[in-house]
Amino acid sequence: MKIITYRIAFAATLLAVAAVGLSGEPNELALAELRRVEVISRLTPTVVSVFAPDGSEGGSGVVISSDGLVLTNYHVVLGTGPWAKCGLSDGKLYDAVIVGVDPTGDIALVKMFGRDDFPTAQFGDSDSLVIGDNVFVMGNPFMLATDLQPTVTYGIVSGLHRYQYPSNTFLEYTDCIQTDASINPGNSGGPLFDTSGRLVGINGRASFEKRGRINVGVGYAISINQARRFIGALRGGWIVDHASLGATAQTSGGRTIVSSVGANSDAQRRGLRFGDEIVELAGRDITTANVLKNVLGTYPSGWRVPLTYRRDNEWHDILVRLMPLHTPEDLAAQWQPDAQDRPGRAIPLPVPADEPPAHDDTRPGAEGHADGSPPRLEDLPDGVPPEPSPRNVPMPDDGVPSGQAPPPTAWPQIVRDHYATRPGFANYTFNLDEQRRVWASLGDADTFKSTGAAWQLAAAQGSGGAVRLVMGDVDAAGTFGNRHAMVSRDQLAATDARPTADESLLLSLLVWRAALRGRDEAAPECVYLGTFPAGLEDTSYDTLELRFDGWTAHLMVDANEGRLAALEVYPATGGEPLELHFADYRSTDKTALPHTIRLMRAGETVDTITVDAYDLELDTDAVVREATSDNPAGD
Amino acid sequence: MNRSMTPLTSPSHAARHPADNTGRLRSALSHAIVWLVLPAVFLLISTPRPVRSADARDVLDRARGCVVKIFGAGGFRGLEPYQSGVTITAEGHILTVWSHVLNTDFVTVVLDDGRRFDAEVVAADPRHEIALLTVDASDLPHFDLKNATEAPVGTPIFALSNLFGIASGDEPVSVQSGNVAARSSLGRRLGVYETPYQGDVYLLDVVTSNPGSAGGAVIDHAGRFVGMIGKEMQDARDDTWLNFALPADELASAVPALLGVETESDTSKTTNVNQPVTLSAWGLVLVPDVVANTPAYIDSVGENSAARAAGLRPDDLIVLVDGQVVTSCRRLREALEAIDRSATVQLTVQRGSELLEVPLRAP
Repeated sequence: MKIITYRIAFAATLLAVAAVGLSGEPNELALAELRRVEVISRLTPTVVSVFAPDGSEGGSGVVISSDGLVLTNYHVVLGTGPWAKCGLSDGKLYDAVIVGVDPTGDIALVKMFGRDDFPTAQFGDSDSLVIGDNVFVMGNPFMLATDLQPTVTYGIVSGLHRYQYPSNTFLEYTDCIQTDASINPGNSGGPLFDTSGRLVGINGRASFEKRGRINVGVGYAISINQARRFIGALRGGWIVDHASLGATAQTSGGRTIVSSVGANSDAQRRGLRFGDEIVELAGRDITTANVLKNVLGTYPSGWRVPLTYRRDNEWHDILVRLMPLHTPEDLAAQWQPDAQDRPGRAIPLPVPADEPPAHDDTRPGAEGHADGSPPRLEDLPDGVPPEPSPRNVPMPDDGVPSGQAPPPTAWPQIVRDHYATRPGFANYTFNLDEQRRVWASLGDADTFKSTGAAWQLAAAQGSGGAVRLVMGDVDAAGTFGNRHAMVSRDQLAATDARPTADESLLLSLLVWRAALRGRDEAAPECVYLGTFPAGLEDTSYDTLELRFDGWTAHLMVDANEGRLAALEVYPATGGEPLELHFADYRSTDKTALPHTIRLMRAGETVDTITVDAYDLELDTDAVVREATSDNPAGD
Repeated sequence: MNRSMTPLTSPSHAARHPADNTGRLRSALSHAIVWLVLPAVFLLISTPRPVRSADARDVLDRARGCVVKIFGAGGFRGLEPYQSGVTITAEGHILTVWSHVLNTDFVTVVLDDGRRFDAEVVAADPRHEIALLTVDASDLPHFDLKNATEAPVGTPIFALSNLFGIASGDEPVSVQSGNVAARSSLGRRLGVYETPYQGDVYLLDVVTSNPGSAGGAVIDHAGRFVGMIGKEMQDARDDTWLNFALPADELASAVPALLGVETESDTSKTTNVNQPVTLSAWGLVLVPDVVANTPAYIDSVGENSAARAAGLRPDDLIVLVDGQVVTSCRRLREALEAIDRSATVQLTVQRGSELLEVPLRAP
């Protein structure tokens, strides 16, 4: 019996070796195939077939969050309109609504409804790809996925850092990935995976020539590292913009020379001048003006990137805030779904502008879905009451702002509930959601609201002196050793204010307190901007913009930790913001508060204070008494 | 659905099954499972990327240094002004396909490192439709044709070329992957493809027939030179495109002659003869020489002329004179300057997709 069982065990071992292999070439191949099949079956549930509501258009997508956020191409949602049907390999169609669009980078974010446990793809690092790496393309080519099962194609990375010119609109592929894995019309918006199944790109383009709109071994994917920089703003419902440097450059004698600098650009303020040689941007060697354009194209407007330039053989490292590439009007014109004559538009895969337009083949695969007409604004029945709103400025809890047309009733209710238009946005509803999420991450709103009429900080200044700072709702005062300073919030709205270092610290702390305490009331208006880096480090923070009369403040929030990482105050004078960077959060009796606060301006640290004690319930009368008795000559 | 897991999970499923009759059998089975699952799991975890990928990286890094971008004539009627080429010596010899792109005095070669050179077309072999270029460079990485390899059917390959002109400066050329699908002779399908080349080609299962691909390199996964991507070629009957490479052995046999022509032509340039042969002596009139590089097409052939007797016809394209490439009417006249009137000249002309050898002697 024992022998028999061992024989069975032995036979099973042989079988195992034969099946999966331990060494040798055939087994290695069998194993590689096994691995490939496993990865594909794991990825399949994350791949989305995107269809226009009437089934006339479509593309692909990939799920990136369990609550149903799907990355796809801008040019796919141009075809579907503000809402779509998303098919998954579970055989179900889910209603989905547009969240945000990137008309320049050809990315769109849509949200599916109906589950909170959608299978998600894991992000990879597209910068770690090398030419020759194997990759998978999954999606819905030629709208073949009538059973909602994605098509898989396999190939290699054929090229990296490719640039594809704008085709008729803004659409431009910068620093993109070239692959010979088959990408065909309908694959647009679908995922490019590495062999371990991590998402490294969003497929969207192909080079065609004389053979019609079919793959000839040359497809392009937007790098996932580029897409990820925009996801924050896309989640906020924005029509997002790409960046310009605020300066132009041209290649001259093998170097990249600045040929003009915008008068109001951050690059100008930080010292870049005509004739300087740009050496590095965002950690990439800038060998030609083309490379500069290629690297720059992967960044959102408002992002900060390190730039190295050379002048008279001296090297300068600066941090530059990038400027918008387009005007708000031009950008808004790229997403006007209601104005589009939708039926019959067929742009599943655009052809780069430098190539002749291919003959427009009939697109197979759509027949099975052609039922019913797409929702149009004209279908709107008369007398739908606008959503009531007490204020004319939308606030985080308002829901749909007033004055906009509600979505057509032909749309599914869940879509109508999550759709609101507003200039600059593809879907403002999601901005409100993000505002709520970020505010909520900072803790209970009442924590700060219930504090006293003034806060006091006792701290040590970087230079060693003791400081005491008092912030009220409108005014702030401080003693810095034997110096005194007093500021009012009105100074931020004044266009001729030139605050000193001490005054700058007080002003920005005043805004900080108001922002934490006030929330809704703090600013007439609040929007969620997306995620942005606060400095040189790689971390990006959820950023809220508070818009005051003539000036703004940016709250940069680490939503995971529930902490404010930085605050930027842009006074009405324009130019460089005042930046507060918060660190060393420690628990106080109320909540965790920062104990190291650094004031920065124009990339330089102006002041650093180390907080010894907070008093959030300051007896202001006592302070006044103390101030008048201790410092009769003060101010 | 999870097909890959089937061989791994089914035995464990059996082990859990209540029908297993003895504890010993169960323990043996669990041993088996450990043996089954462990190696697979271990290998799955330990090698997230296929091993091949790392090798491919080095192979492609080396190979791309030997592939160049060539810019020349074209830019109209679907004729792209660019193609690819491969370096075959350290001293700046570049092999490419013979095409309209070379039909200019201003051919530019851009090396992988971005260096840009004016190139000279020194020799061409119309039978293979290949040409040899030189640039003034040294110590170039190159494919050694003597070490080229034959690729049996099924050999996995990489194709490197500047297809669609995607790369222009120091950007790497594009890489595609595929296999050698067949080795076959184009001559067997005479008249189907418009080419004078009748020899063997490798047929590939990857779309290499793209604008700008021609002249690119096909290598195996060990990085050995397998062949050169051929010109875009379409089946005259069904309009399908042929994805093919000229095998390295065919090139290796043709290249020495091209290198030889280079040295000969260097000397012939300095040779002057007293009584050079002229076209009119043969009874030939070329098409009007209107552009910088008018191809040497025959416009008319005189009655009772030597040319007529030799069988030359209007619209024949003169491509070689005594084995030396003539890319234009001007180059043809220059070539004739160095040939004595009494000599018998070997003309090679292209008529349609045929190459004809025509010995010619002035009366």
